Amino acid sequence: MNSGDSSVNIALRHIKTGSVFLILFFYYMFIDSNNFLTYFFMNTKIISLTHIFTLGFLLMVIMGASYMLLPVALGVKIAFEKSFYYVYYAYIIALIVFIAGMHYFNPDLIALGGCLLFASVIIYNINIMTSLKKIRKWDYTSFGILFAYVYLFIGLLIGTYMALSFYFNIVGKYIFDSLMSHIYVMLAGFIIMLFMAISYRLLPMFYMTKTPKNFIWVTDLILLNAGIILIVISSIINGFYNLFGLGLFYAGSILLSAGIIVFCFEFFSLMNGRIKKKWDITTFYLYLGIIFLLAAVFMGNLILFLPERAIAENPGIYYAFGFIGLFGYAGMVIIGFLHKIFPFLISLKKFEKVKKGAYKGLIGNMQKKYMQYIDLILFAAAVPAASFSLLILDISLIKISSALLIAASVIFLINLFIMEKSA
Amino acid sequence: MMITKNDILENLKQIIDPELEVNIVDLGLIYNIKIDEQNKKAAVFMTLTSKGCPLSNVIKFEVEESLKKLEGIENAEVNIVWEPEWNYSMIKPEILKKLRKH
Repeated sequence: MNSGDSSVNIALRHIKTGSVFLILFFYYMFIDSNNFLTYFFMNTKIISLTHIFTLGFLLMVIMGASYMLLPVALGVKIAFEKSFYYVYYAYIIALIVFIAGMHYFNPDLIALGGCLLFASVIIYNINIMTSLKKIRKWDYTSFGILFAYVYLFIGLLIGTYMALSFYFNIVGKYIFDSLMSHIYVMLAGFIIMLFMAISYRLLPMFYMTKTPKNFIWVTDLILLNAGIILIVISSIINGFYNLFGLGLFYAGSILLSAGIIVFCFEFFSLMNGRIKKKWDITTFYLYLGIIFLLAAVFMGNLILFLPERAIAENPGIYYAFGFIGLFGYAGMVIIGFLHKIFPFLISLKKFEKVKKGAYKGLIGNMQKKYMQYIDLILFAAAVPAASFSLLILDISLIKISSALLIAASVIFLINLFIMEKSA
Repeated sequence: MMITKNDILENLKQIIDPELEVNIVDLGLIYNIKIDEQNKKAAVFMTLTSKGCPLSNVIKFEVEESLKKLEGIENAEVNIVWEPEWNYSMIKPEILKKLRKH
């Protein structure tokens, strides 16, 4: 890849790199599964593992896919296409430094990696924000995407503060509040908000569904935003140590849960009424993702309302909640959409190359269906298995389910290469 | 032999929308066709299912190539238009029925 590469190549590169990080994530989970038995809070090895997935896979793929999806969803061009090339390399270096810093608990590397990550992601964020300025007619999707990138910026600031706090040795009781804000802002504010906005735009295009009603959109935006804002305020006033702050956190969590449930309900309602009834691989992944998201909401509320003692005795519920919400939802939705996006990108790449006889056959013909469905079955079986094994903190089961997930993610990557070659 | 709009439409049926897996004619994407026999030119006025369609250049190119392959056409022009905006009611009813059945 070089700075003169087309946006298609750059997007493809991000997606393939992200898929390699996905394999690494499960490999790390397999090799270092004993870490789940140690104290979970601010466990730097767990932080390292989590960021291999969230930054290595999720954000990497989102950055690459936004090249293609934002113009599709919003009808605008990316403002500074070439910046993606520099961001890509800076981001990978930053990520490796950060992950190594967390794994070996080296505050210098954590701070350096954190600052480099901040710099590279902020360039990406500014690029997207500048692109959004070109939107002529703002609708709910545009607002949803705007909110998502504002939350990415806030989450990034909190994350960098935490990375620096290791260096300056100021990891104190406030770190718990910062961590909660970071998690909720990034996952609910950025990931769920972005996926909701993109889904509401892409579902009508891919499956000929109706567009969501304005009332649903407004309800979703209000509930999600109110929930996240209350949780952030709670953490600013050091909410876990006073009753008022704790109340805000509970209220925020409940509003957030309600927003997510409304989104899931709307997803089912749109998909059930779709014109294109055929089930393709993406449909299965999207349904799985939404089911896992609902499971995560259930577990999150269980954590809220279970007695503290019960949770202290079984911290596995945090891991199970995090895994099913992170990989179960976000991972499945991304993998599902990649089954649509990747063939499109390959077609475009081929078109750029030959400019004649450009596009032969259907996207579906490019995909090795049996491999895709084997992969789907593996993921569908392994995600609940891994969540359950994390819940009961059974190392053997964690290893077995991680091994299944390694196999599934390797098949996924192979499938991408096969698609690229056969195009 | 004179080329007709129907000949062009039949030819364009070979171009399939990759996502919906239906040809662009039955999808209702072709709005108008103008044939200039004297200059051996055909102009197609068509739309796409969405403004940000990532394959817009590919589909436009394929339509141009498809027109040029027709006997009696030397110049092809493809105009992408957005008015009226495409919607599902523009799909041929029997195709829509088929999509719903799957």
